[in-house]
Amino acid sequence: MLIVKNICKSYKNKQVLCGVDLTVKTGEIKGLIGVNGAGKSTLIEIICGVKKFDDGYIEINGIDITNKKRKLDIQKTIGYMPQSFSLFNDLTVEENLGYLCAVYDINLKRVDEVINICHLNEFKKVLAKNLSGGYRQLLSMAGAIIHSPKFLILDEPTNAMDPIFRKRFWQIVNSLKKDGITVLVITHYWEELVECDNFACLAGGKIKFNGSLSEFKQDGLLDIEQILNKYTLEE
Amino acid sequence: MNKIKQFFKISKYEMIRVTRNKVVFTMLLVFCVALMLLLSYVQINTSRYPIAIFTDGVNMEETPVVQLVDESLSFGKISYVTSEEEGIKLLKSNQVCFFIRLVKGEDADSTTAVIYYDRANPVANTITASMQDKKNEYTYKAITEFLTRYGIVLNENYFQALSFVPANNANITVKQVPFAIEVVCCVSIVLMLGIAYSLARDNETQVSKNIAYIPVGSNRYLISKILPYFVLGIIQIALMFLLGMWLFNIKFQTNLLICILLSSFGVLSILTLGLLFSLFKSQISSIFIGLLTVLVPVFVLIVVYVQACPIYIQILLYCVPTTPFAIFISAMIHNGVVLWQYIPIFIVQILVYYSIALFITKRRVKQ
Repeated sequence: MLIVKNICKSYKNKQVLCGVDLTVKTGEIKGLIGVNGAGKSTLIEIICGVKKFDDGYIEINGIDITNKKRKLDIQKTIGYMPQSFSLFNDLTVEENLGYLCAVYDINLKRVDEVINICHLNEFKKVLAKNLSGGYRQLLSMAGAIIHSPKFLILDEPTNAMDPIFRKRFWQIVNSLKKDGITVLVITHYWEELVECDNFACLAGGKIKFNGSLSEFKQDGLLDIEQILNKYTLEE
Repeated sequence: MNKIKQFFKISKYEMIRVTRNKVVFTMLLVFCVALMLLLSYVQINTSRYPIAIFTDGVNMEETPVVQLVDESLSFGKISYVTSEEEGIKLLKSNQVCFFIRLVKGEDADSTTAVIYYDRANPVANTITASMQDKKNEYTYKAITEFLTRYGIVLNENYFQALSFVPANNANITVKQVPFAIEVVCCVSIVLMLGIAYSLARDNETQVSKNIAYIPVGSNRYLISKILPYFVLGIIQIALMFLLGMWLFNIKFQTNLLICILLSSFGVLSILTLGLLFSLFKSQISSIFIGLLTVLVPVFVLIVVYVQACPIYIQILLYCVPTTPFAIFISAMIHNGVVLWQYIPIFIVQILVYYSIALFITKRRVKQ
């Protein structure tokens, strides 16, 4: 379970996040939407412990993320899939995952398991740079789950994917959910928001909405643009 | 123990990355040897060094031991001196880089040539060749070649196809002087080229950003980058030493294994500086800056004379590990002296350059 309480973050004089509250319950898929520059990526970086925050409190599965002694536990708890591919282009699929196994100090057997989960069997020996955009994202996903994290953060994961790949990708996410993994996903796609149990909308450095999609459907808002417009215009 | 094992596992993948591009990897290995062969040619041409000549016991007017046949070839200043003391004085005061003394004996066979090259201790470190033995022509050739660069030829009537053979320091030849410098220059250039782009390409492809999210740690990440190039550097050093022995007949005054082992300080020092340059966000910047930085001392070591430079330039040159490395290796190979006082210089360089690289990496990760 993720608990984010009253998080504030500013760069120089610019306030990026201002009293952000967010909760993601164990085993649920939570979406996070917002216009570009709303602070989504900053919030993710703060949750992952990569960026410091000025004020507030964050806990993941009962661990305070500011506790330096538990940093390794937090890193092992979180699986992060970045927006753009950030594994080694000059290593094969298998070697990239092997590298991560070495980093997390886990058995190499896990590589085959993850390759299976992410449908990368036929690309095992292919260099990452030779993979198509969709498969590269699947490799990124494989890298994010190699250490069997309890909490998975996906930052616009399907950007480079066609609809078929996107469907395949969400099948993987849903199967992970069934295994009890909690997922927080940043997205700009309506069909992905539909897959989420609930979602939050970040605008102007604050969470403007936190709930389920059905509330919007009642108001007749049926695409992500309308939702974003509603909260951005409120600004 | 487990952590060390884990560290080597991580480094293994870095090694795979280094060797993955077969053309680049082969170039890294072969280029060193090719450069050494090229530099050995360049280095023989010492004509830009000012020298002093003293024809001891020989009346130059009666018996012209040396003749300046082509002044246009002589780029360096040649001073003819009238005593050994005068020659040594010029050497000590940095006015010449070599002082050659040709000593005529009672008969032609006992004529000797002495080259003084060590300004710190000129009398103790000389290259001496006499004509007592006709078996070894190597030194004779080297000396005549050396003089030819200045447009000087030895009077053939006077020397009459006699051969010089090393007398005092039996293992030293003229050609040995530049060899150590060649090795260091080649290794510096190649290692700098290799390491400079290692982190930069990760920066370009966003990989380095990813290290913040995985428990690899900045320290382990940086060391795992250095390790493959360190192994490569040691292989290169060993390869060049062996080639030097076989191709150039270099006689090592210090045990070969000790030379290789102690070279690791210099190699590591170059790599940490390269790592620092590698922090630039583009590969082009890293490679350019790394290469240009290392080329300055290489240029000075080959073309000019480090000790002849003003002190502030010497300090700057010593900041680039290539300079102390060349002097350190040179003393080991040619003089059989281990300059232990250089080890702290290397350690300080390694610590300073690595700490800065680590600091910047950690700062970037936290940003």
